Amino acid sequence: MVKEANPEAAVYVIYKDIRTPGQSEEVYREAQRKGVVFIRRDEDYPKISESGGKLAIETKDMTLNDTVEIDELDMVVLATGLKPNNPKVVDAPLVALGMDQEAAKKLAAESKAQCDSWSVLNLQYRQGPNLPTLKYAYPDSHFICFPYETRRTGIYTAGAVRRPMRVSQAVEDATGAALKAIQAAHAAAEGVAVHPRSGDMSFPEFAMQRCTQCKRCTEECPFGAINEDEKANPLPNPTRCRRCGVCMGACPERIISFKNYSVDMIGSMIKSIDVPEEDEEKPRVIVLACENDALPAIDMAARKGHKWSPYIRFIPVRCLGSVNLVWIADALSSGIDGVMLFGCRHGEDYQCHFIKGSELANVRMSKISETLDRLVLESDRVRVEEISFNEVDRIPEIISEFMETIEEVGPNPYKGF
Amino acid sequence: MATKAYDKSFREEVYQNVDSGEDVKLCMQCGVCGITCPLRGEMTHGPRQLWSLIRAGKRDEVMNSPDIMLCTSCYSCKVRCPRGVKVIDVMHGLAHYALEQGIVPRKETSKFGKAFWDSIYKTGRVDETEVPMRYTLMAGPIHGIFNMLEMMDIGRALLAHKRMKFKIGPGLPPSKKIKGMKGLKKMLDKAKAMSPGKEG
Repeated sequence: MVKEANPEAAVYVIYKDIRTPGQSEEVYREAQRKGVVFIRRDEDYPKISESGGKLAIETKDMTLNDTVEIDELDMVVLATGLKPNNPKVVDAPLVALGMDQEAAKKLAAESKAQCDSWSVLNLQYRQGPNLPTLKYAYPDSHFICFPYETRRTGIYTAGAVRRPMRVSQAVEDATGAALKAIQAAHAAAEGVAVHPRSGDMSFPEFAMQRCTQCKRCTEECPFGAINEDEKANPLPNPTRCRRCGVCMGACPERIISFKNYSVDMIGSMIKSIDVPEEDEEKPRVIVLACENDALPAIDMAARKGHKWSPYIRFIPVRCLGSVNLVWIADALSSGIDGVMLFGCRHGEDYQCHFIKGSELANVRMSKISETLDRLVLESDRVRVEEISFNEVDRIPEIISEFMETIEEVGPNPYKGF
Repeated sequence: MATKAYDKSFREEVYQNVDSGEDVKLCMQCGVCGITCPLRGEMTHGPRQLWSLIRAGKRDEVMNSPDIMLCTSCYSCKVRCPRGVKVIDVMHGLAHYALEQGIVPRKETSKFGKAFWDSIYKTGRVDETEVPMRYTLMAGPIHGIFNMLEMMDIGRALLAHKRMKFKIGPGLPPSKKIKGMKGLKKMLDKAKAMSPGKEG
């Protein structure tokens, strides 16, 4: 360092923030002991000028609350920050939520084009050659539980690709990613899924003869696991599949099923629920709860002794994204008064373990409210709720609020048909 | 619009000549010293800003800052400084450094110091009536009387609690001297000879 080579040298560090991760506070102190002077500036960048072969810096000094000029400098070193060069790729379903359709489509296309014009990975995925990015344009997946994950099965990010970090942290990070990769390799060899459904031996099967090439499954799969042939028929890749069932929920023709989880199974479950007659004045409400956050939360609430309406029936699903709209139709046509969908949080601070599932459910339900209105069924009968595992105590409140709404709208007119 | 700053000569001077001056290098400008100081309300800059000014080479502001003579050595700042800066030592050190150069940043402190010193030098004790009297009269008898009239409530309370004896004026009646006054005088004379400046 400069001071070690020449203790007489005047060294200044002009900063806006000082971050000393790990033990590097000691580096800061050592620099100060050697006489480096730290000057705090505000948002504006300092101005550098040259005069007579020497440099001068003009900067706002927050501790003096004045603008100062330091001249007769021999060298100015600029510190550069880290920024991901992968621009934010905006997914089509997200785009459909609230944003003006045309503007949203344009934005999505622009982002994708910008991103696809170069690619380090060059993936042969129908959804694009790059890793999809989320918040801050980093390629994250379920960052809370699965930090090295990306939305491409088998590809693990480590180091500054994932977030800004120092070399020592990157080394640790790489170790973690390698361990995850070993797990993935084992899983692929055994033909089972990786997390969150680790060890799952089922995989989605497609009854191709009824496929209408609508492309919903290929576009909406959070992991891009379904490719397309030239005729837009889906080409599933079982090793990339996480068995979330989002494709199953998306398919309007219901051609996708798992051996242990299908549209028919849950549909039959719903249709066989006993619905009291209208004159009994007992409503019937079903709750479709995702197995990742919602179902454990309900379980915890029950164990804590919370009580709620006895008129509810709970049905676990793999992910709210796997909820096929026909189940809503089945429920309402059986005379069931209300359907609640409990799932993980979506949006910027998402918790959805399959990243997009909860969001897609929200979008799909917002679209059927129009259909419901046409059938003279109140759109209030179907509601999507975000349940986080630490909001266990809110569950009775959420349920009773919904039961109140159901009481207000009255019994399902299709009861007894 | 920008002022030239950060010439290194003043800070080097402070590091070398002021008691514990090198500690100032380590200040991280957290401000705990300032918020904790009971005298901060009376100060112009406060310790944190003084260190910043020293490093920025602002000699005049620092040397003439009354703050350096306001430190009461309560130690509140020194125990809390996260960088271990010996705040009190530097504050007093700066005051000594200024006085050595004939700068007296805060006249009231200097005067009070003189009254304090005179009392000890003459009688070997700090007479609680004598010292305030001398201090308030230092600016002249008229000022002094006005000062005393202002502080009448405190004076009455002190008299009532026997913390103060009634006197007509300084030395009237004179305070009792301690035993061994000669020995004390010798010590004080020696101390005076050893260091410049008279302030306590």
